[in-house]
Amino acid sequence: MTRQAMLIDLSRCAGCCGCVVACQMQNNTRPGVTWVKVDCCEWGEYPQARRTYLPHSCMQCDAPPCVAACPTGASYQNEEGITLVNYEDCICCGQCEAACPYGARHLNQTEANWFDTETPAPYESYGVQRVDVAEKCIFCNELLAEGRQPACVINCPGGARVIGDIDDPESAIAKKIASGAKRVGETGFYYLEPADMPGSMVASKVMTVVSADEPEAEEHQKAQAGISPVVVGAAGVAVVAGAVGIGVAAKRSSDKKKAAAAEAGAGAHAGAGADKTADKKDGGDR
Amino acid sequence: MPKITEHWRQDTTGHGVEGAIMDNTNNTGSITEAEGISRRNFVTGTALAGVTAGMAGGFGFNLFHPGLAFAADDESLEVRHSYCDMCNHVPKCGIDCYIKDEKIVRVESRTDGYPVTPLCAKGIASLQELYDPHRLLSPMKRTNEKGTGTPEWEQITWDEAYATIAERFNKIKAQHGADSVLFFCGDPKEPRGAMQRLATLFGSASYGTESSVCAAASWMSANMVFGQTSMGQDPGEATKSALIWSLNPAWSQPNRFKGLMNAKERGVKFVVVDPRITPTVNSLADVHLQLRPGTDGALAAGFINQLIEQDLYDKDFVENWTVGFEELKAYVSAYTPEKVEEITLVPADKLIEAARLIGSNAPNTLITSSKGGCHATNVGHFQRAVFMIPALLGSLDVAGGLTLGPGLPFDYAASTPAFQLEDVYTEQGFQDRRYDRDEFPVWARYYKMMQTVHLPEYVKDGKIRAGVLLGVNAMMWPNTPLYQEAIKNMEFTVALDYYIRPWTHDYVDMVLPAAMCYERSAALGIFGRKIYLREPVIKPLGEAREDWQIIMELGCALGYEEECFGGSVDGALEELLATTGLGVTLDDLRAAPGGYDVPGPAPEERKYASGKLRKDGQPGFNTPTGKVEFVSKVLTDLGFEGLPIYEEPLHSPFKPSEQDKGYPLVLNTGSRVPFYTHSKLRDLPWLNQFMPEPVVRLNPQDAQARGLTGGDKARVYNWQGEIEMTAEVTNMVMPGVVDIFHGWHQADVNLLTTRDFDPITGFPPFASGLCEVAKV
Repeated sequence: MTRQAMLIDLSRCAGCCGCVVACQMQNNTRPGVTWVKVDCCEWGEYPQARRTYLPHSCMQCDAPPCVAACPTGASYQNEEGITLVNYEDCICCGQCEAACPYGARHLNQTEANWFDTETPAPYESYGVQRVDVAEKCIFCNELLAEGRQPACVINCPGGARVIGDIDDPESAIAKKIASGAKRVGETGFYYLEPADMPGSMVASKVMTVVSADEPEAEEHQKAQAGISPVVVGAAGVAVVAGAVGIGVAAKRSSDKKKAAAAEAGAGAHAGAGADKTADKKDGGDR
Repeated sequence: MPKITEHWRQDTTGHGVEGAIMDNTNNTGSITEAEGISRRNFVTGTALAGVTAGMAGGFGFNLFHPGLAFAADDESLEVRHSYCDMCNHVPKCGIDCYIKDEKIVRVESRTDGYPVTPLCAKGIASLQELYDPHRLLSPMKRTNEKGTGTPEWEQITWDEAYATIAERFNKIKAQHGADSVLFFCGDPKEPRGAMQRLATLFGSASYGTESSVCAAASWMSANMVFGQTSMGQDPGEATKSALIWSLNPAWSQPNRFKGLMNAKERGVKFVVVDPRITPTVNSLADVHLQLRPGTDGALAAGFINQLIEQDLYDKDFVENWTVGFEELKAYVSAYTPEKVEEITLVPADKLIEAARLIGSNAPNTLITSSKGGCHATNVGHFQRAVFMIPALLGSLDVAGGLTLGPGLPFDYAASTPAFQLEDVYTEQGFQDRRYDRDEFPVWARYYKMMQTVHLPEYVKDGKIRAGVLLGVNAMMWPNTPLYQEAIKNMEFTVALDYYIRPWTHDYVDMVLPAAMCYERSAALGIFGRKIYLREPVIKPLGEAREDWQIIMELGCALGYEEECFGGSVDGALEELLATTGLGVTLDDLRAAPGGYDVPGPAPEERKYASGKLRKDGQPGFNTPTGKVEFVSKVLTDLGFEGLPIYEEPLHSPFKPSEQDKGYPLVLNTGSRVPFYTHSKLRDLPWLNQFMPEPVVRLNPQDAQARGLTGGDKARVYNWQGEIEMTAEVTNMVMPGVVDIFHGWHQADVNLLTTRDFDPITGFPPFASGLCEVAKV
C-alpha cells in the first residue's frame, strides 16, 4: 500500500508564506481562497521568548469526516489516502466545511480575478476556472501522479516540507518521522516541532475544535498574558497577524465551530487572510 | 488519453456517487430527488427556487480535474528559464517559466542544477507583477505642475521621450556642466553597469545608487579591514561555527535559509546578533545576542575582548598578517562583559559564551548585513570591528572561513570597471570634481559612485539640476519630504520604473516603462565560475523596454551612438564580456543554457601568503599596509580615528539630548519581511494578503504602559514626524524598542528617521532613532 503524507519541519519554516502563494498559483484559487494557512505560535517572554510559524492545510485524515458528510459523493478518498473533490459532483453545500475539524475546507463562491479585472490574467485563465465548489488541499495530486512534488514542497525556501509514502520505510518522510515527528491525530500530517515548543500548541492551532481532554496550550496562554494573541481573532489582529507572515489562522474555538456550521450553507468563511470580509466576520469571536 | 487524466478518472470511478449520496441526502434539506443528485440538477433546482443567491446566475462552470497546471494533456506548454528580480537583483533565483501561446501561465523554482533556488513568495508572485494591469507600459510625460498630488500624465512615444531627455540634458550640461546631471539607480542592481557607463560617457561625476544608504557601508568596512569587499559568506563543508551579525536571511534572502539549516544540521554552531527574535534566531542560534539597536560597536569590542581574554585568537596569524593588534587589545580591554551588558543589554555570560563558541570552533565564517547594524551613527567604526572577528580567528581565506581573492572579474552588478569606463573616470579627474568628496572622503575613496544623502543640498545649491532616476524611491532617504522637494526642484527628471509611484513620481517630469525580468536579458548571472545568460522569455508587454536597452538608447540620443552600441543590449553585453578578458562571447553563453563554466585554477587557501590577493603580486592583503588593519590607515590618513571605537548612538535613550527627551523608545526600522522589498510589491494581491497594512511591533511591557493591545491603531512620532500604524504586541521585540517595517507610503517611517549621517560612510541611522508610541 501507499499512504501519501506530509511532514513539516517547523524549525525550517520561517513563515515566508511561499507555500501559500505557490499553492494559489498552482491550483488557480480564487481571490480570498487559500488552501494553505500559516499560523503563528509564540511562547515565553523577553528574554526567553520564541516563535514558530505553523503552516497547515488539509491533514488528509485516515477517515475523513468531510467525505462522510458529503451528500453527493463529490468528496472521496483515493487509494493513496488523499482526500479529493470531484468538482463535477460538488454542490457547494458546505457540509464538508462544517465537518472538517481542521478548518481546511473552503467554499469558493466568488467568480473573480485577483486584480478584479474582467479578463483573467494568463495564470488565471490557464487550467479551468472553477466556482461554487468546495475546495481543499489535494497534495497537488496531479503533480504527484507525474512523479513530481506539490507546489508548496518545491517552492519552500527552507526545505521544511517533505511529502511521500509513509508505508515505505526508505522514503524521506518515513525517515524524518522516525526522527521524532508528531502525527496530527489520525491523519497523514506530521510536524517536527522545535524542542521547547509547548506540546499542545500545534493541536490547539490547527484544530477548529479542541476536545475537552486536550488542554489548550497553557504555556502559550500564560506567555501571552496581557497580549492580544497574534493569531487571527479580531479583524485588527488579523492585519497584524498578516504582518508577521501569517496567511490565515485556523478558527479554533468551539464558538467558531458553531458559527462555521451555521454559516456553512451560506458560504461562511472563504478562509484566506486575503478575504478581509471573512476576517471581519470572525472578529470578536474570541 | 494522457496518463494523468486516466489516473484521476480511475480514482473517481472507485467511489460510487449513488452510495455517498444516499447516505447523506437527509442532511441537505433542499435535495429530495431519490434517484441521486448531480451537481447540475442540484444547481438548477436551487437556482429555480432562488434559494442560494451565490450560486444562481452566470453559472457556466467548467468541469475539470483539479489543479491541472501541468496536465500532461496540455502539450503546448514549453519551459523556458529566467531569473528573478523581485528583491534586489542580487540573488537571481532561478525560475522555470511554463509558456503557453507566448504567455507565462505558471512559474516554478528552477531545478536543473541552477545554483540559486528555490523561489520564495515574492518569486512566485513575480508572475502576478508581470501581468499586473496597473503596470506602466508606455512612456509618459507630465502635463501639469510637479508635486501637486494630482499629477497628469500624457502618453508619448519613445522617440519623443529620448529627444526631450537629450535636449534637456545637453542644454543643462552646456550651461552648468555635466556633473549637474545625476545618473541614478535605486534598488535595482542589474542596470548599474550600464548606468555608470552612460554617466561617464556623458562626462558626469554624479553617478549614484541606493547603495549609498544600504550595503555599501558593510562593503567598505570589510575593505578597510582586509582589503576586499565582503558581506560575509555562508558556511561551507569545513565550517565549524558561524557568526550572523544583524541579518535575518530567513526573511530577507529566503534562498539562503535552507543551506543555513543544512549547516546547522551538520553541526555548525551559530551565534546570531540581532535586537529582535527573528526566524533566523529561532531556528539557527545556539547563542542569541539580543542587543539594544545601535550598540553593535560596544558588543563587537566586547566580543573581541573576550576572544583575547579567553586566549581564543590565532596568534600566528595576528603576528604575521595584521597591524594594530596591541592598540586594539588596549582599546577593547575596557569593554568587559559587564560593561558591555550595561551598554548593550546583552547579558555578560551570553557574550562570554558566544565568544567561546565561535572562538573554539574554527574555522568560522561571518555573515553580515547590508543594513541592520549599518544603520547607526557610528557604523564606519563598528562594522569594521565585526569584520575583525574572523581575521582575529585566522578564518580569512581558509576552507570554511571567508574566501578571499579574485573570482571571475565581475562586480556585484555583474559588470566590470572597464565596461563602466572607470579608466576614463580616473584619467579625466572625475574624482576631484565629486560633490561628495569633501563631506565623505572615505566613501569617495572607495566608490566611484557618489554618496547621495546630500541630494537636497546639491539641488538647493544648483549643483544637481537634472537626472535620469532608475527605480528611484524618495522614501529610501531619511526625512523623505526633503528629497521629494529636491527631485521636484530639479529642472528636468526622468524616472524608469514598472509602475507610477506617487510618492516619487509626483515629483518627476517623465516616467519610462521598464521591462521585467521575464522580458529582458541583461544583466548576466554570475555564480562562482559559472556565467548564465538570461534570454527574454516573452516579449515585453506594451511598450516596455529593457532597462539596459533604455540606457543604451538614451546614450545614442545623447550622442554616444558607437559607445552605446546603437542601443543594442547584445552589443553592450558583448563588450562587457570582452572587458573581462575571459574570451567568452554571447554565443558561448547562448550555447550553454545550463551555465557556462569558466575554467580556472583549483581553489587555493591562504592566498595572502602566496601573493595572489594583491595586484602587485606581493604577499599580504589589499590594504594600504598590506596587512589586516585593526587600525585603519585610510581612516587615520584622512583624519579619522583608526581604531573601531564605540560611540553611543547620537539619539539615545541612555544619553538623551533635550530634543530626545519625551521619546524614550528606540526606533529600529528598515528590515525585510518576506513579502515586500522596500516600497515595492505591495500592489500584488498574492503578497499584500499577508501584510495589508503598516505595522509597528512593540514589546508587551511597552504596549501595556501605553494602553495598547494588538490590533490597536497607534501613533508613532518624534520631533520630526508622525505616522499611524497598527500595533502588533510581541515578545519578538525587546522592551524599549519598536520595530517598524519600512516602505509604506501611507505611513513612511522615514518621516521619523533623521539626517544624522555617519561621517565615514554617510549612512543614516535607520536602526537607532528615537520615538514615542501612543494609542490613537
